Amino acid sequence: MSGDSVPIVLPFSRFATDACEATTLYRELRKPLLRYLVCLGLSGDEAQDVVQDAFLSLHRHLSAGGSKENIRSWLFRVAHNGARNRQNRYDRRFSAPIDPEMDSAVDEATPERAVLEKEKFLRLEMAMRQLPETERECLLLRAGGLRYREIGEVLGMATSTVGDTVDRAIKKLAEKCNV
Amino acid sequence: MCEFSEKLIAHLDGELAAGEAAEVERHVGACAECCSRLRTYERLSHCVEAYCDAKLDASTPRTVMPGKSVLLGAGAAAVVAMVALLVVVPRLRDVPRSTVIPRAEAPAIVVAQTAHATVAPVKKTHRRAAAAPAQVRETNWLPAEPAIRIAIPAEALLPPGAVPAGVTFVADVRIAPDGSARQMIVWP
Repeated sequence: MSGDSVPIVLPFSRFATDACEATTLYRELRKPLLRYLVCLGLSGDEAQDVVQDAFLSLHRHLSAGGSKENIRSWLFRVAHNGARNRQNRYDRRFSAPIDPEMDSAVDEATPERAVLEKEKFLRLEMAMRQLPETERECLLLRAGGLRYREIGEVLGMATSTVGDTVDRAIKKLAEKCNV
Repeated sequence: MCEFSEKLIAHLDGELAAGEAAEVERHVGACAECCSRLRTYERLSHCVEAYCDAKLDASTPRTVMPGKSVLLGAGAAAVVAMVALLVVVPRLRDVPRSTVIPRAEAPAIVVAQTAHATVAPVKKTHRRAAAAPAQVRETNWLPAEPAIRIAIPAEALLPPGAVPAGVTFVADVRIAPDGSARQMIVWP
């Protein structure tokens, strides 16, 4: 053991179901959470930190006997708020230059297809930036696999309002991206 | 807007009963507005998902977690370690103290030591065991309770790249007189 190691002391109680649930949720939701946070504008490292914080909060929540209802939206809400707290400079994220690293993410079989895909993503990115924040967040949460009801819980909106918001966002994107 | 728009959302979320879902599908087949809305939604959804995946792939992967993040990682590891203990502890109740469980019985977790304050130390198979007593004395553990030490490879707990290669977590578990696990201390 290195000299500066710090032990973490955990009380043992009700661990069985809580630990299983937390582990299952970690496996299921880690990637969707990371994807959502990166798309909100966090860097990869920032997103990792926020996700880890969110799962530590989940552990504390479950250990304290917190409700297990709507736990997916609970986790997304914690991560969403964590991202907002981390960047009170939220706006700068989407006003930043378009990510040049998107080049490396487009890995298509032929150069022509790669160019087309890159153009499609850039058009989508431009269109996403022009959406109001709520519409953008609704779309990203939907892409993260959340239901309308869950999106409403994360963002504090009625389910019907979420439906209308997603509809509006999709119409705008379809017009701008010619999809 | 079509009167089915609300049901369309519920249908997309898979929250309709079979009968209602079939009704919505029949309606979508006949209603140009809903059909167009659904197709646009599906096309855009695929685009946004691909875009999100590309953004995630483009974000720099972390190779080493410094400082605080290591502790946070350890915390996440502790959650997983607890699950591992649920598998190990029941087996330990049936095994005599100071016994090393063969790897074949516990392939992912090696029980390195069984310690007791009043028992002479046994040979320790983990390199961290020699430094452990000083740490143990600083904690609030009840000395009369036996501890079980388990070593957990980091790669069994955390995703690849989350911690440097070769890192192992060590957990000391206090066992209550009734045989239940009472407390656990995890070190990265």
